[in-house]
Amino acid sequence: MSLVLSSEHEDFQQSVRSFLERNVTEDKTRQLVDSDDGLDEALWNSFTDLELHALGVPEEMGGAGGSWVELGLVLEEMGAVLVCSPFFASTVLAAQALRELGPNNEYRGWMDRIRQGELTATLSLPTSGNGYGGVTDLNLTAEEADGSFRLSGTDAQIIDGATAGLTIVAARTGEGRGLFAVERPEPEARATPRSTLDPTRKVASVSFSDVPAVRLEADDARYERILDLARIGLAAEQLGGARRCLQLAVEYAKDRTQHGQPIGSFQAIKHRCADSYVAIEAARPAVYHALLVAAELDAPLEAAASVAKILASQAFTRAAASSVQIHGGIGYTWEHPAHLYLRRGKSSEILLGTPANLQERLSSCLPMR
Amino acid sequence: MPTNALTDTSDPQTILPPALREGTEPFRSKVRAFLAEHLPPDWVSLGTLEEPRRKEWLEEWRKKLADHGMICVAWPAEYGGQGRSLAEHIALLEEFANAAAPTMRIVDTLAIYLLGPTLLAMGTEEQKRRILPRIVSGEDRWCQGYSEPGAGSDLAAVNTSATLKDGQWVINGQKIWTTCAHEADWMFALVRTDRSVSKYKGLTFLLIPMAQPGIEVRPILDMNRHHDLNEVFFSDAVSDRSNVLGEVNGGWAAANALLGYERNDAAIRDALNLRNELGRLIEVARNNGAAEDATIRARLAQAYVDVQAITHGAVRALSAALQGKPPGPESSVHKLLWTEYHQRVTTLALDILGSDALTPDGRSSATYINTDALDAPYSSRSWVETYFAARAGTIYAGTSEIQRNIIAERVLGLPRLRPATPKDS
Repeated sequence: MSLVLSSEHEDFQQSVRSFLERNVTEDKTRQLVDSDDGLDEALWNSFTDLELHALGVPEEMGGAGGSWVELGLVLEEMGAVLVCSPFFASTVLAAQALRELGPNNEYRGWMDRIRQGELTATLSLPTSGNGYGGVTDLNLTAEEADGSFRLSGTDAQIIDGATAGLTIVAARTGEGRGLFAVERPEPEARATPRSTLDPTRKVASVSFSDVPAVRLEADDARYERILDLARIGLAAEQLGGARRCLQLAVEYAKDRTQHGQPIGSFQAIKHRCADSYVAIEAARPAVYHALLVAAELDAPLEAAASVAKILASQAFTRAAASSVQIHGGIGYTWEHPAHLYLRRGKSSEILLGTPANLQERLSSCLPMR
Repeated sequence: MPTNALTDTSDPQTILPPALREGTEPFRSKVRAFLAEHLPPDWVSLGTLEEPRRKEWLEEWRKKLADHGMICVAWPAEYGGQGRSLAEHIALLEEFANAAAPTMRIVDTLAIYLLGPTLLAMGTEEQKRRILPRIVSGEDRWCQGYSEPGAGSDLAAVNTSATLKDGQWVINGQKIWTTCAHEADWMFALVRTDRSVSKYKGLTFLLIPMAQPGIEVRPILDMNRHHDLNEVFFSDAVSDRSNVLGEVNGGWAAANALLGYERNDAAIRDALNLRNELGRLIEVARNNGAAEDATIRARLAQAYVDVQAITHGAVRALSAALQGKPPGPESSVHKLLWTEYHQRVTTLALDILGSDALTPDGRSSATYINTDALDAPYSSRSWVETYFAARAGTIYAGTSEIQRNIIAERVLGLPRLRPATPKDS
């Protein structure tokens, strides 16, 4: 695979696209928006049947091979139809963290269950400033006693934290920071669904009181790699969302007439659409490049992930805002999906580091000092 | 220790993925050997030379490129090229960029990037054998006669006429914004040969010798007070009947084919230039302390992101071309991305220079669209000139507005504007 998709990849993308277009309708998504858990069991099971949970995991870890490109294409298509599902939390955030943390199959048991769709998982790593919070920003503490750990405190923003069977969190320890996994049901870990800017991605506050947890070995470099993999996955999803916003805007601009002709014949509208297209096509090769890098275990990810996430964020929020504008009054209504994309766009831009955060992080890899 | 993002690859000397480097190594070594032998031992970049030495050196260098087969390498050998692959040609661009060695003179640009590929695709055997080797050797310099006072974005409104009389074309009218016309031996031009048909159908792509009494060239000084642009006046100028490229009245198709030749190598060349330029700007910001400012750092980081987007896009277009895929709308996307980026980064450059920008001194910039290369001594004048020169990028070769129309209409399928009729008002 190069930055140009092979015909096999194009076929794969097309089949994922038609599957999702058949199975993810706006009506269903709106039901999920109004639900607390955002979980459509039938859709989840079909992802399992299609073996989507195995993507991005090497074969020796029981996965479908170094298939980050396929995972990226799936995420792009999911972003395009605004899939509301714990897929991103489970298959991208958590499974990729376990891939990174357990190169020798240390966490094979969980990974197998995630892959088989039996276990949904999630990961919460605070990010702030140029990448991640300092130790003091962590609200969770882990106490060690007799060689085992117990977690206490509240993590107020865990993606799909209400439905996750396995929750991986960062917590303060005596020496610094550690990653811990809690498997539920665990009566002393209580999840409260939160109101979200993007109602198609659920977030819960989870309170732990003296909950037994498994420590996962992770140094700072691994911590960063996990975040970078998540950023690359998110960038692919953002690319799909941006593409769909542009498509909706263009369709509307061809349809809607004013002054006796389609509004899409006016340059003011054309140039907005062209700007979205250029932003998307600037992001696409950078995202595909990042997917290729992510497929390789241990390849440096920092620059590629930051570049992809920044460009995809810029493309998505631009295209989503433009789509609202081009749709005019109807684009401002609750009934129209334009705002759902703007919500997903804006929240994805902030999630895992804003463009400004990532610029600051990138500037430390540029030879500036 | 963070990795250096500007060179974030296993091989800092390449922006190309391994698949695009495959098989080019023998030729790369040849190119490197040529550069090692012929560049001066203390070579830094063209930007370190002062005029008129710069121009003289470039002429000598240009001759060496021709003598050693280091120019137009992908053109067929029977027309003066080396019959090299596109990948080898790109390898040459990359090796030259790494050595800060010019690949051609400015006056060669249009002939090599535009006329050559068009001739190869549409020229007669006689034309190809007569014209191409003299482009390669550098003997013939070419300018492009497209724009006219009344035909800018509406290029098909060209009004300069050519009429057949006694076996030769007689040309009357005026061209404008003609880069290097004052140095050129020939012009390739769009002229009107039939006024009785629609504006697109009466145009012909004509090659015109410049040294003749019927042609007058007057200079236009650009914003930097440099002389690259000209007006060209034709009063009964002549050209041989055989100098039509393509069909008589088929000029619009020929000109469009020319625009359609995906100059993937040009995108790679731009990416390489922009990478070097940003590297140098970062160096300036580090040396004068501007990089201590968080907003400057953020803008430099975004510039790096934009250069990465342009680079990956160029690599993608090149990969598609090497796989034999037909070109898409990449050239409009690339032109918008790089020219608008170049205005942003040169604006940033002046902010980094700060008060130094108010009293520009040092050398002039080495080329009219890019600053001189990495490691040249600091020159505030080169950055200030480049800031102004970057204004041209979004105007020439199809303005940004025209590129956006092309994307909106040809890619997104948005309808053309219907001209207003009296009843609409």
